[in-house]
Amino acid sequence: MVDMSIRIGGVAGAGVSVTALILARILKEHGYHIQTFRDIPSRIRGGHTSETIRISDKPSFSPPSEINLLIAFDRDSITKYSKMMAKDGYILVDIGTVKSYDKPNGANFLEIPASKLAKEKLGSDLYRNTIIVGFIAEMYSLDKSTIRGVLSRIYGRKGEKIVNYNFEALEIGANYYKSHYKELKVNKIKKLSLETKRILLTGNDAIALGAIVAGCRFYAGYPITPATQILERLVNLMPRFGGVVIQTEDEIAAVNAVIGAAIAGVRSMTATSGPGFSLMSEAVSLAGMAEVPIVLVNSNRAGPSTGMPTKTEQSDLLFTIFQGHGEFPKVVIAPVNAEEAFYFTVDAFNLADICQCPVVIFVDEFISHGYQTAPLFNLDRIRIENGKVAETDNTGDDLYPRYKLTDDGISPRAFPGRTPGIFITTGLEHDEYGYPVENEEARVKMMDKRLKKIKIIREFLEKNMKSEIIGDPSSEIGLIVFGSVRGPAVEAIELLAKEGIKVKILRLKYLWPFPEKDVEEFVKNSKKVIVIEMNSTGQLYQLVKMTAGSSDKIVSVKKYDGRLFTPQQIAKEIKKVI
Amino acid sequence: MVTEKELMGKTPQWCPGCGHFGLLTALRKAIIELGYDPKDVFLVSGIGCSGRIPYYIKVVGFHTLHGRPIPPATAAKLVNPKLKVIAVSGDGDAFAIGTSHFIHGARRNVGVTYIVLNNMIYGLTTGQFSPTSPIGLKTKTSPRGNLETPVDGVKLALASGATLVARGFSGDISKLVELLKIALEHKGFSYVEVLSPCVTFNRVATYKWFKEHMVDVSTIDGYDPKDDTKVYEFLSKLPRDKIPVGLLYIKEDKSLEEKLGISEEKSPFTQDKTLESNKEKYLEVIMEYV
Repeated sequence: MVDMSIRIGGVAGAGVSVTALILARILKEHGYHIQTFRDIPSRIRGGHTSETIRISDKPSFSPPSEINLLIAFDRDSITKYSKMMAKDGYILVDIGTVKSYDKPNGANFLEIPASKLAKEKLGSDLYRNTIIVGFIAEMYSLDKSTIRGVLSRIYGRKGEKIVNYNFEALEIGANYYKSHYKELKVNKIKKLSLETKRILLTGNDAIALGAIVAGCRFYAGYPITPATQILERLVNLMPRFGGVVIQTEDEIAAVNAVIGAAIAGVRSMTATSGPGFSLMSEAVSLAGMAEVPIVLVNSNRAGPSTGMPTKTEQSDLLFTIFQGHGEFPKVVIAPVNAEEAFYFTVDAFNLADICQCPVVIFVDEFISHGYQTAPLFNLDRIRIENGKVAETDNTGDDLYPRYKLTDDGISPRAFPGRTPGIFITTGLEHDEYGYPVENEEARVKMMDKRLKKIKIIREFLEKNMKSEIIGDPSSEIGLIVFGSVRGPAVEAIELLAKEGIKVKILRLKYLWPFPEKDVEEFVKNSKKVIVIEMNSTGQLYQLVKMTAGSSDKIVSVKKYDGRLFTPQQIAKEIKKVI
Repeated sequence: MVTEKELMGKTPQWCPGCGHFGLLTALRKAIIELGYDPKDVFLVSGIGCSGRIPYYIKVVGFHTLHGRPIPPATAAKLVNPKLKVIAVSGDGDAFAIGTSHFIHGARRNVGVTYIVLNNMIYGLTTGQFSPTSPIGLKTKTSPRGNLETPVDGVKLALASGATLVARGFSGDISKLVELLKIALEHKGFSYVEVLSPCVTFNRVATYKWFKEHMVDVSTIDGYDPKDDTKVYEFLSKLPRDKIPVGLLYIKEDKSLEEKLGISEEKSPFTQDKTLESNKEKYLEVIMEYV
């Protein structure tokens, strides 16, 4: 069984993330499941930054409890993380950069003047990263040709000369290990043979891919941490599929552009985080009233206000659910990782088109930024459902009733440039033709029409995204979680099972309309319910109480330090409660 | 060819004598004379009296948020360039809340015609001053007279890189029709400001007042809307109280959709987006993440 972690720390801008990604790729090519955790500051250079890579032979989505290999590119790394070292873990220090440091007791130190060697032997300290990789390769007996393959792929664009320098750097690191640490006792990392390919990507990558596969051909967005990469991926992907991306002047322009493209008949999306999502509120209300299908991504970062842009949180739960003045049907879905984000993104577009309303994909900074392995996406699982569209006809050019009253509340859509194609879309309360109305009867009729759509929404969600129950269903203790808390929660109950403590989990896949039936049933079938979330006011806890009633048996566990729960933290909280 | 009657929507709720009637008539005439199919005309309006226009003309209409017609207009044009896209605003939409979108709409040079009905007042909210109100104008929110310098939409459009800048007067419909026709056929962003008196709330900027202050550039010897140096010179030399009207500036340049390779035939709207047709290409992209 392999379950180890590597943490790399250094000054921001010095190659911490680059090294982490190279190692992540190499270990993924060795057949292991990878999950990375980024602990980066909100700056470009300077300050301390670190990345953690968890490597295991089965999928895991939670932070490791201890570090097996710490790579220190600065002194801070040693001060900060030496307490987290596993008993037989190693701290590898680049003494070319770290001139002096305190050696806390009990830690095993290895040293290599990597940046010095890089400068002396290859002319640039940029090769320091690959020298470190070579050292590690020798230390864990990694497969050299696999590593060369990864380096060729990463640096191939920069030309053969650079690739060869990297190969040399690999040897320099390996030789240094051989001449200084050959006798070290280290658990080798064997290369596993895999039957199927795996991909390595972030949640943002997955959402961008999901949008393309869903047939989204318009994206408008404004850069904001941690959603920026969705804009950047799509800027490159969209044109390959004949789509358009515009970087707008702000988030208000982005969401309004998305509405315009959707009215014109093209699936459209934008992605943002708290500050930008706040700006989009008015337009979401418009989309709800005007019945325009739009997909928004809200990647929760630590707030409020500017908060901590590179840290994770689930503090926008209630805001996301209740965003937009007035009342209108809306959907909020919450994938837990990159793989689920891909499929959920397609679902989001289908649901938006079917119900002609805003759909929000609610993730967090961790899901957006963390690299993880996933099985190759299976396109046979994908269905594109476009909802009700008015059939092309030759009924002439009469004004088409865009908001025709129907049994299920959903009116067939028309698009400009087609027949039927003359219709009115509006944010005012309106009649079937979109003309403004204010009288009591018309208002109630149209509001009821829109709210009727919630029935269809619930049917879709209950069929495709029913909340999942993990663990022994007969357990008396139940957890309720969503999003990235699922990962550590699942590991936590595995740890507790080893101690004979049985716990089950209700994991919500959609947050709005709230899965009342799933929650009520779960609460009824549990003696104790612990709602675990990453915010300071217990927002999911409020929703659970709204649904299942206040009672002593429902308690709240909260974490709001900007970092994901570890399984150990969750296990400890559960033990406190029971 | 569509008829005037076929283009009629509901009877406008504007006050009798409102300048907006002139623009509405001119717009209908322009659409008819250009031979446009109403279902290809996408008209997006903001909030205010001007915002109601989609209900009064039978084309594809979108009555959107205050200040926000340009982003959805831009997007619609980019996903289906076959559409003739018109964004309509009042002076509040264009020069208060939506000014950023105005600048960026002009910068992007997407084929949208931006019609700004300028009555130098906020009408629908019953008479507050606007960013284009003359200094000293007494309104409900400037009881001692407006103290804020009015913004000049023409100069703002020019500074933002608009490739067509024009100003008309709703009291002169035939000239307005000509300006609208040039603007609608212009490749890229066209700005058409329409001086449009509010007979109910603006007792200063009346038809008479506009006529007294307007200077028609087509009557100026040697005025060349294609020569930006001459245009800037003319504008800088013009006395402050004069309002230039006519085709003020025009530049032939590629529109953004052209630069992006989007056309009527090859657009996000017309494309085959089914899973079946794209499966191979999708797999290729997914494999790049292996």
